[in-house]
Amino acid sequence: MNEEPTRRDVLGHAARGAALLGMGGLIGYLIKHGSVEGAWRINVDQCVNSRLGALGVDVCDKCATTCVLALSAVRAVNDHAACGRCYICPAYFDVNSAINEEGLPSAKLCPRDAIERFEIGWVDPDDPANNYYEYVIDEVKCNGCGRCVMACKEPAGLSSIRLEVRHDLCLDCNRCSIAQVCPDDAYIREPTT
Amino acid sequence: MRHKLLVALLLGACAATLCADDWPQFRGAQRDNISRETGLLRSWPEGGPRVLWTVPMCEGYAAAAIHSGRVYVNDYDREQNEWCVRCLALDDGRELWRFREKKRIRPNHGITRTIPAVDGKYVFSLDPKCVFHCLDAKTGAETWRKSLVHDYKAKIPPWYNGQCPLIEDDRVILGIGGDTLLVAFDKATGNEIWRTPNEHKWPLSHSSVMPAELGGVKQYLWCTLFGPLGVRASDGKLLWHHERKFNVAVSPSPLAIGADRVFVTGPYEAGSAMIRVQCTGDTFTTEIIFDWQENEWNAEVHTPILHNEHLFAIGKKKRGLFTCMNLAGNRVWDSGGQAAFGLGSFVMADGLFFVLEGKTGMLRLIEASTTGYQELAHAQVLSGHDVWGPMALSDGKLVLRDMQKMVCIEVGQPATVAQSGADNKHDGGS
Repeated sequence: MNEEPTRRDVLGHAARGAALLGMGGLIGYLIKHGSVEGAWRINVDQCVNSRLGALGVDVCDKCATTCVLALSAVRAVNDHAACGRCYICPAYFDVNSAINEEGLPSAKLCPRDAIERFEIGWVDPDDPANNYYEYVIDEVKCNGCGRCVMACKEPAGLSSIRLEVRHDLCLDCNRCSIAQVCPDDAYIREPTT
Repeated sequence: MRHKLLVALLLGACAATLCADDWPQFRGAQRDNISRETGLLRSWPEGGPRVLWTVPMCEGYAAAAIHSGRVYVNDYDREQNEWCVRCLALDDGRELWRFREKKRIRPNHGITRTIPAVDGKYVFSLDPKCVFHCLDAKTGAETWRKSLVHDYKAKIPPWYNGQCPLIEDDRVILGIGGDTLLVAFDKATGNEIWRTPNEHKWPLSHSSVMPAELGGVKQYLWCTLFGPLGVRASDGKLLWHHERKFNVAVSPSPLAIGADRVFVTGPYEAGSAMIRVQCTGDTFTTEIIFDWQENEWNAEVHTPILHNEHLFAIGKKKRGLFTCMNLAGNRVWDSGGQAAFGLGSFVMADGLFFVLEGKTGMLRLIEASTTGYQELAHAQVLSGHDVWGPMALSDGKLVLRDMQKMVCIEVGQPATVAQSGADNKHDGGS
């Protein structure tokens, strides 16, 4: 029963070990180099700031506060085709602030004053409250805090604002600090091809 | 003996069949969103209630008033840039007349809103740009008009006018903004019966004037962004104002609860509040009974229904649960786990709630119970998104709408003469 291993056995074990080592190396290579083909992305249906139905909850600002960059690589982006262009935009105004004599909220929502608005189209002088406005997010100021995204959600908003990862800014860390703390697992890595 | 038998048979037949009731203005004849009709169906045929007619409408939420077999509704013609009031036959939806006026309105969460008020002789409608029209109910010819902007220095609110006029006896009452809070107009002439000065220049929002009797005094309630108020019905004197902040717009109207309470609710995280209004001598005072400042419960658009010492409404949370609350502010039940209604509308009649899903146009028939959510039937009557327009009920016919069309369905006992809804599809011209 205690037979000595034959030469064939020794060569077989060595071959299997080499094959396993090779496969491990290949997997390691793919993990390291294959990731270059991927990119970080925010799943808007998962993110609490943009997810429909998530109302009356605190805004999540992890994208703004945990990115390794001084100013986060995440920015708010307004899809102008989907925007309601409202006079009282809940992402522009802090709708909970005191009301001024015009009946308008007296404060803006963005803590960095990153949203500007411009009148567009025909203006009725008798009806200033129903002009259309274009809302533009200044990406030099925006830090992706998500407040405007949370506010631009039904029923008041049309979900035209969302958070996006700016790939020209993102350092593409393998262990992204935002992904590690995202409470909704909405910060995901996806292949770019 | 034969006559007695005939009378008994007739009385029995009346009791078993429907009792017709007009729906002459926003929230019906008594402004409580409850129809007094009886004999309504408690279950629906497979495929849903019979569709009596369908009429195309411009996108929006403008809804029906019904008087003497006629439906009155605001509409808009996008090709011609014309705002209109249309009069349709309740039986088959055919158009009887249309008042039209050039008016450029921008789509913003729909184009059309609000409900005319009708007394059979006159039709009153406040248009999107706050011009108040009195029309002849038979012909649609204009009898008189007032501009809230030019005559009272009011400002057109964002999303245009959202207020529905209130008619009572000889007068029609409007909230104004600008230099005037409320005005009672003589229905026939448009002359002012009284006006209430607006010392604080509170701007016009979207709430409508509601009748009430508080502290033994007949009054009209209204709500601005700065809180609800009461005005004496006899002379327009401001009796009380309860300072409370609303945000951006206040769409639901203040609701009198018994002889000394008012319930208010509003959108944009304004929450809801129950306010006690008391009268001592000539002085009215107010105090908070409970106030949900932010996220406990609020209705975004529609005013609750008071029934059997409970409030019924669709709340904002969890995509719009139909909710029953007691008057202490405690939730008794809601539709959680069974149905969500978004910003849909609801109406009550004959111990039943008709509740519309605002995202889908599904109509649900619910027992008007204070013990639990009990659905009796449902049907896909409408379709699409933003099905927010209020409903109107008269003569066993429920008139409701989505963003594209107005539909009349049979919710009372079936008419003796069968009529195919497919034969009554009209071109709206909108």
